[in-house]
Amino acid sequence: MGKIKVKLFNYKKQNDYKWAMTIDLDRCNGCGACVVGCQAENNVAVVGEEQVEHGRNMQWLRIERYVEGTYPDVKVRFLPMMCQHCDIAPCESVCPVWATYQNPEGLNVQVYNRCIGTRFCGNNCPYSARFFNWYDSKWEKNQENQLNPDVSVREKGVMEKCTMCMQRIRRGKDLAKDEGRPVKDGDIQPACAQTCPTNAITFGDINDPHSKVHDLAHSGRAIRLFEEKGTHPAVLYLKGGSGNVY
Amino acid sequence: MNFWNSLSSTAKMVAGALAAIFVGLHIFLAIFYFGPFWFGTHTPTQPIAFSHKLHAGTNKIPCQYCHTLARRTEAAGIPSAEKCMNCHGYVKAESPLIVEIAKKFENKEPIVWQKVFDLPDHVWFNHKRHIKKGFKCQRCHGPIEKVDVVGRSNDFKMGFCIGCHRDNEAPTDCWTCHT
Amino acid sequence: MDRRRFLKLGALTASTGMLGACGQTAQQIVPFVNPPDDGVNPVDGFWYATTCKECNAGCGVMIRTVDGRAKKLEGNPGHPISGGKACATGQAGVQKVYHPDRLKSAMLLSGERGSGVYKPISWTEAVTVLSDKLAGAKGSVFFLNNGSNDVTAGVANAIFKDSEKFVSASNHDAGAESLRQGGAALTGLPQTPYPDMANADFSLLLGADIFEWDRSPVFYSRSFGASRRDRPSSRGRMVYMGSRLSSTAVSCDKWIPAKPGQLGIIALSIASVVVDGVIEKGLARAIPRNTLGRYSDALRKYRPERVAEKVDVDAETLYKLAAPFVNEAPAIVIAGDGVTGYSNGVAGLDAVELLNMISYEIGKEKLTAKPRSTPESDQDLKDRMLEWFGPAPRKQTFAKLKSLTEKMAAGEYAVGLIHNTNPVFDTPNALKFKDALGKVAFVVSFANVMDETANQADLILPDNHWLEGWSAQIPDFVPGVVALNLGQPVVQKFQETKAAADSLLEAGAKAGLKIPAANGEEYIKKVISAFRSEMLEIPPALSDKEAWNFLLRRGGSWPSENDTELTATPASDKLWAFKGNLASDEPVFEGTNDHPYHLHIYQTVFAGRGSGVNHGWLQESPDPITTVMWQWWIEINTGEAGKLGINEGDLITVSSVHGSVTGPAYLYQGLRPDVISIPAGFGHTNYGEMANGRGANAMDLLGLSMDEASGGLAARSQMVSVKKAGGSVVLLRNGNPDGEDKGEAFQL
Repeated sequence: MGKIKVKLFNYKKQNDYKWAMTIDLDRCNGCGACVVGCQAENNVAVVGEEQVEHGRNMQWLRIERYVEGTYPDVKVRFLPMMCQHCDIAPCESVCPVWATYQNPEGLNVQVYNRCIGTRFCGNNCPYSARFFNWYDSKWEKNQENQLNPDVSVREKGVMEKCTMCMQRIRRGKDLAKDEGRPVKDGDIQPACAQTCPTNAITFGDINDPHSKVHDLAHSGRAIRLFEEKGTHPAVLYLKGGSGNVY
Repeated sequence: MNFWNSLSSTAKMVAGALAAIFVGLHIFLAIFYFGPFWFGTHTPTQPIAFSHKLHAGTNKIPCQYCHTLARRTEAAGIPSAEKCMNCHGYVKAESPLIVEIAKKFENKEPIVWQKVFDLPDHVWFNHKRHIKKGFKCQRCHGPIEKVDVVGRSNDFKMGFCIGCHRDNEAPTDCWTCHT
Repeated sequence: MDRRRFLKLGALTASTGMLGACGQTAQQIVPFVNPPDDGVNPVDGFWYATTCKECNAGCGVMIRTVDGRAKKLEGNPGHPISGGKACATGQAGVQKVYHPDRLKSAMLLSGERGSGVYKPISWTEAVTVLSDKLAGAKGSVFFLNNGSNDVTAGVANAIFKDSEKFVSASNHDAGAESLRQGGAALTGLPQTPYPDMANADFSLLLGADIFEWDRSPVFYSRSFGASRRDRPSSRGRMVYMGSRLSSTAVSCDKWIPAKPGQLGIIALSIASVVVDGVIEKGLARAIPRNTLGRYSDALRKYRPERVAEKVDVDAETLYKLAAPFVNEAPAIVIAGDGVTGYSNGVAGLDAVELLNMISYEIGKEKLTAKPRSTPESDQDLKDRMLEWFGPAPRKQTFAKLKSLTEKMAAGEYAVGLIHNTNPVFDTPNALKFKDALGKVAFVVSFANVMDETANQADLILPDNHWLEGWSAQIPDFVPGVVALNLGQPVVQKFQETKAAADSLLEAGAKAGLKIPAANGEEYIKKVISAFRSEMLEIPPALSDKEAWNFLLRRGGSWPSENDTELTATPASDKLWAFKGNLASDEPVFEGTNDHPYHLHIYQTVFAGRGSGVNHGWLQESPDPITTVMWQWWIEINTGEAGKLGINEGDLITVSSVHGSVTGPAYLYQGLRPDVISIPAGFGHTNYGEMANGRGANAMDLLGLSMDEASGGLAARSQMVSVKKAGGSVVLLRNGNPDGEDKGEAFQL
């Protein structure tokens, strides 16, 4: 047996970035481009009608919609919902095998090869943003050709969720490192942000005072979902202009 | 042994069966998880009997002369047939193995190699970062310049990666390698 | 001990057996024969610029390929329509390359028509069959597509243009004709107007479902986002008028459920207030005062007080809507199917364009929002370029398709060529397209998955997927500029297919017809060399080959950023010459007294006109409004449903004079009580396993009412009745349907 060496992260040194996302609800028009973009980028499985009946659809990113009021004064709101990457995440504390934890860059990590599928985390998530693989992901004949080689295909029995397109973050950091500079604002775009036709989704390093996401987070319009639960999400929603409606 | 003898034959049978299942299960699990490493194809037969000893050892050709992608991308890359012909158009051009390569090259037919070093699908490894940091290829791939037929000299289990990452203060966040 | 050893051995063999079953497959590495150029990273993948063909809008896109397989679609950041963004349908297009239902080779009918019994034939054989038929047809040929001005349409036109009998028609989304004609009425330019929403403070959407239609939802979504939050000075406001709270309407600040068919009157009413306001305040000096006076007189009968009751919107609201046009321009009006879907479509659009013109003249004095149109010089260039790509869009009306269908039914055609459209499925049932097709001696389909129309064909020549072949297109809906979109093969052909243009050209050559080029690629090169001097963005020093590569890298040709500073067309002479006969006809509805409800057929974001129904990603994405997945539904107002005793999921039958459909009810607060709305595109019978039998086809209900002035289909003028059919199903909806008021919990 070799000696066991345990070294904790040097947080000061590692914690250069704190990734965050803002979603402008005033811009979101519910078109669903981000939903399909996410599915394409992250090899999210299509489960089929039968499984949807059991509520087992897997889209990491979904658009919630709320209908308020009655005809003719109806208001419908859209709210893109994905893993909120909470700083104090309810899912982390219940995982018996540390398959989910907060990483030094502020993201909520899910480690598939560590997950044993207790589903406690999914149960404890107030945002319903975690999805369980009830079956091995299947693709219709030939469609596996489209799978993104940067993202592992999850197998039966593990939880999965939004990673903020970790593969893109990694690539962005990799390129920045080659050039010997920190990641520039806008270098990294998750699939949803890149595709969003209304530019509602912004991603970046909230620690960087010159980043767009920092500006938007401090614009006075930002709210966090279920703030009262103390989860401190890394996803900030920008409220609509209710004071300025027609 | 007295205790064992005091048992009825049925109880002995049950106890024996339980013990057998217990042992069998462990053997099963051991083989299930580690079997690929024990019985896996460490040293596959390659389509062309290429010798690393001759190229990298005797002739001292740098690794990255052929594996050019290693310093530029995640994958080290297997050299293209064109790369082989760059030299072997002149060097030993009449050797039967070279003739075979030349024939394939002319037909625009790739040479299909068997993979020796492989990582599971849920692991992401970036050659570029490690090469740029100054690590020698041999650190992971073993003394490759000393063998004719390359076999897997390392099982690349997670402890191997993590140990080195800790020693070098490289990130040990799970998402560094797993997504 | 023996027993124990046996058990132990048993366990061992079992586990090795398991190992064998799930053992790793031999991993192989296939290196390049010739390495890629230095500087590219084959591991990250290659990015290619091309043009999305999932709808007609013509977005420039970038495709990531790894190991020769298409992986991901992103917008092309330089393209004037997509601007680096993409929609759901476009992204799903990538996976369609690998669709399990794709046809694997050319096929010749070997049973009866409609039996679906085909035998695979070689391409040489297929081209011979086609060339024999074309030679024998002596020009009595028709070509039908989805209205895209692309190479196939251009090639078909070029081969047969000398034949008197040849017709090239299109089956595109309803309403486009009226929009073009409406734009023509006042701007004098026969093309779809492009209101500059991105710079507008106030946008009035008259039944314009700009995020759901075929005229680039991506472009309009970008404009929407920009109008809302990209201008630091003010937040763009939008008001939507129409009978359904569509997903576009939801994004607006207010929804006003106006009476169906009356949006034109409403536009006139608002215009009457605006014109008087302009005169009173002395704005828009460029418009002669006497013209404005004539307008004022003509519009007097539409004053809000007079029409309020008729249009079901109170006068106060109409005054309020007119205010931004006078007070705080830039303000614009965008008209959509809510105006053009009725028999008075063009008449309504006159008023819309009048409002836009006045707003432009006012805005010119402040910061401008321009009613975008192609400047006349560019229009000439566009016309000349369009000659290479089939008939100009403004000539492709529903009326033309209808007359073609009548001629088909009379047995006048020997060969029919159908490319990229499915008219048997998505034309109104009353058109009887399928019967007419049965009278055509020889039908050729270029579909690359089996669909209802291909199933009626004698010969199927599967076209490449758009990622596998060359393409070029003149998009109709480009804001103010002329663009030529180019598409290139991004991946190798996945099935034994052939570009439709190539099939036509090869068969044409064999039949001894005059062909414009040897193949599709050559054809595109010919177009480029013909117009190269006019495409200013190509550096003149480049050789032809370099210019070609330059264009492929960009994904096409369009004026650079600086040139797109829009030279908006000033109000044309038609506006100044106005004599005072502005009229808005009363809409005509089809139905008897037993049909109390207006039928409102719409395209959902994911199903489109039916092409998205065979796709897992699109089917499993919840519909934005109803959140239904994998299913089809019929929308009815919640209060109205209560009166009829209908609950969510109850099967209801909707009938018109033409037919009826039955499906589960979805109760929606955002629908006028006198309207029934049904998503189009469902009810396939022959579109692959995933699509077949899902819902019913709303087109079964539709008649052939038309807007005579534009030749467009008046798709919203059908009246229907509703009754319970008995039984119910559970609608598969996303999330927790009971938690509909969660919005408050989130303190939005």
